[in-house]
Amino acid sequence: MFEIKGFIETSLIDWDGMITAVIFLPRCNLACPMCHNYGLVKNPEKYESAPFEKIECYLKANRDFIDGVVVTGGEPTIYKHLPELCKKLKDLGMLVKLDTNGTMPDIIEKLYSEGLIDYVAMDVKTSLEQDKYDLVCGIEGVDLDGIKRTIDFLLHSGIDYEFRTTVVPTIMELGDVVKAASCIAGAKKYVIQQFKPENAWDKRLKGVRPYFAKELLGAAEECRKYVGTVAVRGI
Amino acid sequence: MIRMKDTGFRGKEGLAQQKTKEDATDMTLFVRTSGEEILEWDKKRIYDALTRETDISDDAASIIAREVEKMVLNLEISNITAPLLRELTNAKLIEYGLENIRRQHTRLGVPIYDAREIIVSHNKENANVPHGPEATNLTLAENIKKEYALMEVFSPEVADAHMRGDIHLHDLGMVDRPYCSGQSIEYVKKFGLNLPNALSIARPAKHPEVLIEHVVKFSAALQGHFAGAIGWDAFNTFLAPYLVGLDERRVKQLAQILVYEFAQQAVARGGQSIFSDLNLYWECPKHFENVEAIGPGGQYTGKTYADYMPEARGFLNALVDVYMEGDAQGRPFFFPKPNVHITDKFFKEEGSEEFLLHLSRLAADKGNTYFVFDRGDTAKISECCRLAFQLRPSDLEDAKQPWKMRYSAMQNVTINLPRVAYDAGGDESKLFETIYDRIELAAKAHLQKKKFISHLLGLGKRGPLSLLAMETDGEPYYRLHRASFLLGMLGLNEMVQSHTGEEMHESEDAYMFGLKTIAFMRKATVDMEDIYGIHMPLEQTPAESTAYRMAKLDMKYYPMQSSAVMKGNRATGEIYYTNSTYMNVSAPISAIERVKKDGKFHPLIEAGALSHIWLGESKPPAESIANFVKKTFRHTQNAQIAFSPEFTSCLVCGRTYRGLKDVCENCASAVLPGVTPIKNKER
Amino acid sequence: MANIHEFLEKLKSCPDDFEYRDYELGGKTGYLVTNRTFDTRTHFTHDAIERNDVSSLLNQTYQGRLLEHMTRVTGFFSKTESWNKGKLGELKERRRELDFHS
Repeated sequence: MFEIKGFIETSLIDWDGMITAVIFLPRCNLACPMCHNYGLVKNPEKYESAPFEKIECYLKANRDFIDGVVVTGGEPTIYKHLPELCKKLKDLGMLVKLDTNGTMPDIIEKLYSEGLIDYVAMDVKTSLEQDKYDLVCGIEGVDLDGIKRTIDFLLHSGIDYEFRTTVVPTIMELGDVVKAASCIAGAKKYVIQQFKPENAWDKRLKGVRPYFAKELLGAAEECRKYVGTVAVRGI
Repeated sequence: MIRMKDTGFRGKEGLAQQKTKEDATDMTLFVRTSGEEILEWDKKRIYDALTRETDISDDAASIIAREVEKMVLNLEISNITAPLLRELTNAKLIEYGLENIRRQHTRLGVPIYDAREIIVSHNKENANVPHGPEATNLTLAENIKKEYALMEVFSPEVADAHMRGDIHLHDLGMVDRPYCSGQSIEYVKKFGLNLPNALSIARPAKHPEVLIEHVVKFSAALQGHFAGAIGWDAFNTFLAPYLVGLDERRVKQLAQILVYEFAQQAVARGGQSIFSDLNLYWECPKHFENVEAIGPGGQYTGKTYADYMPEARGFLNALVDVYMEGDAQGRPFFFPKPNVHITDKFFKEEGSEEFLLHLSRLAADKGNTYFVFDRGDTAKISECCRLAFQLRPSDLEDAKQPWKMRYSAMQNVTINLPRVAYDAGGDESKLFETIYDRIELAAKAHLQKKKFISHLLGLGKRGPLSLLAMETDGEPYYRLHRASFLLGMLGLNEMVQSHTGEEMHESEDAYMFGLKTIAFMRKATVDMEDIYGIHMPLEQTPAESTAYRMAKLDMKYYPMQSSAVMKGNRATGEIYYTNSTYMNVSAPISAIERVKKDGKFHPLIEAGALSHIWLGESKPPAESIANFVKKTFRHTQNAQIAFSPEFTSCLVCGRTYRGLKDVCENCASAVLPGVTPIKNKER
Repeated sequence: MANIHEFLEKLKSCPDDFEYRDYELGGKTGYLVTNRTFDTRTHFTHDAIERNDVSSLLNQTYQGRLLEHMTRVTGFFSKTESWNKGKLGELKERRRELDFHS
């Protein structure tokens, strides 16, 4: 199978309303310059693996508190064995949330149809234009069709979900956030996330001043034209 | 006479002159008294002081006075200060082997260097004291009262143990008052504001604004008579009869008045805020359901408190709104602390889910909320950092007359647990014996303080504690027979680490040894109750200064042993012991495990305990906090939790940020044209 | 030149907090002001000093560092500026339970 490269025992911030544990899977098919977990993407071998048995033991001991497990990365959907992991978590009585960039619609559809995930948080990195998306994702030729398929799936399958965008000045503008919202028009929930320069992969972003809270709140207001619930996180 | 005490107002007694006839130059020696006088030399003043203040015989006093005179005149000086003269006299007393007399003749005070430091620099001992003339008055006075306490109030055995750091006697600078107090606003509602020595007397309030003013002023008066916290029980429940028919806006305004009046009291005694606690309930506490309600004018309204739930809840919601807004710059209010009681009944009440979310939003946003868990039939009144009193059957009897519900801890004594481990040197039976001995010593300290306070209270109306001695309702305001005597603990984690080699989070064995220790302490306090007749519950000592003081003392006296377990950074001197029964603050333990493991100690710690969840910069959604609170109530024995965010506030632009920031981004980027910040190379 | 005079007088009156000297930066003459408390250096052109009031100018020398920090010390909130060294040591080591991002 694959290795788990990080485990957070308790999180109150990764799934609104839920008390969760978080599992990190290494590697990613993108290379976003603002990525916080780039270590897991670039040098996963440098991180110690967390044995699943230990995680299982912790989850069992704290089932009275923990509602669910967030599976994040890296990009978890690049693993074809992901359903097996989710199955194990479901068997422990956990709800499962998947964090994804949405480039792998097939596996997400499979996870849902097999009842292995309960919630999806999908990044819509920026407005769905090839050059802009490539810039924010740090690679050439991001599979926008796959991303659009995932968006479409989330909008219509009945699964609970949220879309989210981290707003990084210099590689995108506030207008792109509103455009991104227009690409998910009709969605239940959209989250605009504040950028934290100190943890970014691309060191050139370190000196970048994030947008002010009021600017993000302004953008959120505009996004409400397209999406019912728009939240701003990290301000 | 030569005034040897520095207190002044009796210093003008007599004036004498004695020229030293033997002196060829006919030199006159002047004595500078602190009565702001300069008097000419007269050795009789030394004699007078000795015979007045000490048990010395007349003959011995004459000899000492003569000897001191000889010494002083040989110095060929023209001026001498009364304090120096006193110390010279003391030196003579030692020379003559009159150590006991010297003790009685001691002068208390501070060197000028210290006085300068205190007046000019900032007091860092108590995080609740700002800097200012009132604050430095407090510090100077406390220094003297502290010395006084250690010489006069406590036995040498107790005082030495404190000075060595085996135990810590809290608030010695306020030895002439009890430690903390919790009561009900029913007293103020029923009797108005009628304080001893007051220049004017107020009848019971008719209007809610006035009642709030009375409560705040009474709190300020109590602050002058207690060292620490002033707590108010079921505040919203008891305020409710004054709120009938008021619209939401008015209620919000009242909540705002209350919070600001308490929050801005840092202009009163010693420039300190009133360490104030409001105990709040969504439901009507069971023991007040059938109690006749007192309303405007101190009159019974003919209803019970259960009848005022809509008003009590309306006010509580408004109060949470006020906390949520924070002050003018969006900073959290430090005081009054809102202790919201979560009970079995709470969850059955209408609207409690929604209210819990409201509270949780406040916890996430500003951090103010203290979630106090009263499981089963326990009822508690919280007042200090985490001090809570469980109401006993006799208290519940008092509940029918809630103005009688006045509780106090007379004193708090903390045991330095790591040192016990150093002294025991790995011998477990010696470890427990030593703990027992220290607890017994603490009990003795309590008895000594009790004797002293009883003496002051006994002076009644003319004594310094006349406010506590007033008998408005037929018994003294301070109910001595109901006072508790707290036993705190510091550094359980380091004690366990020193004794077993592992910290409490590192192994189940170490953790169990910690639990065993606290259970042992609890049992020992019950023994003390039997032997000495004082109620001595365990308390998690707040220890914002003790944790540092004991760490420093142990680094000095037990450098080898303490180095092995000391927390913090020894290179910078930022050292500390872990508070009370906590696990290492830096240990990688999840919040869940922390509230569970902390919680197992809590049933043993009758006088109150609290688990912290340090949020730092993160702001969890209210729904997740509410979820966590519910599970903590249902699945743990934890007595109280609080979520603590961190804030940075810019004094230039007034912005408040979440997290501890080095730079205000707004100001750093708002550079005026023609102005250039130069970057430091090292930054 | 009234403002320049007033500004320099103010700096002179607080020698423990500020020092200044004539300094040319990028071809523009003016003053280099050191804020000793915050260890910052800020250059002011003559023009800038003329155009702004003294307190706004002084505020520029803080470069956003004139801050207060607040959190719970034990069971109550207070400003960390008033904490003793032991507590500051603890603050540095506190594990912020939820300080994670996924």
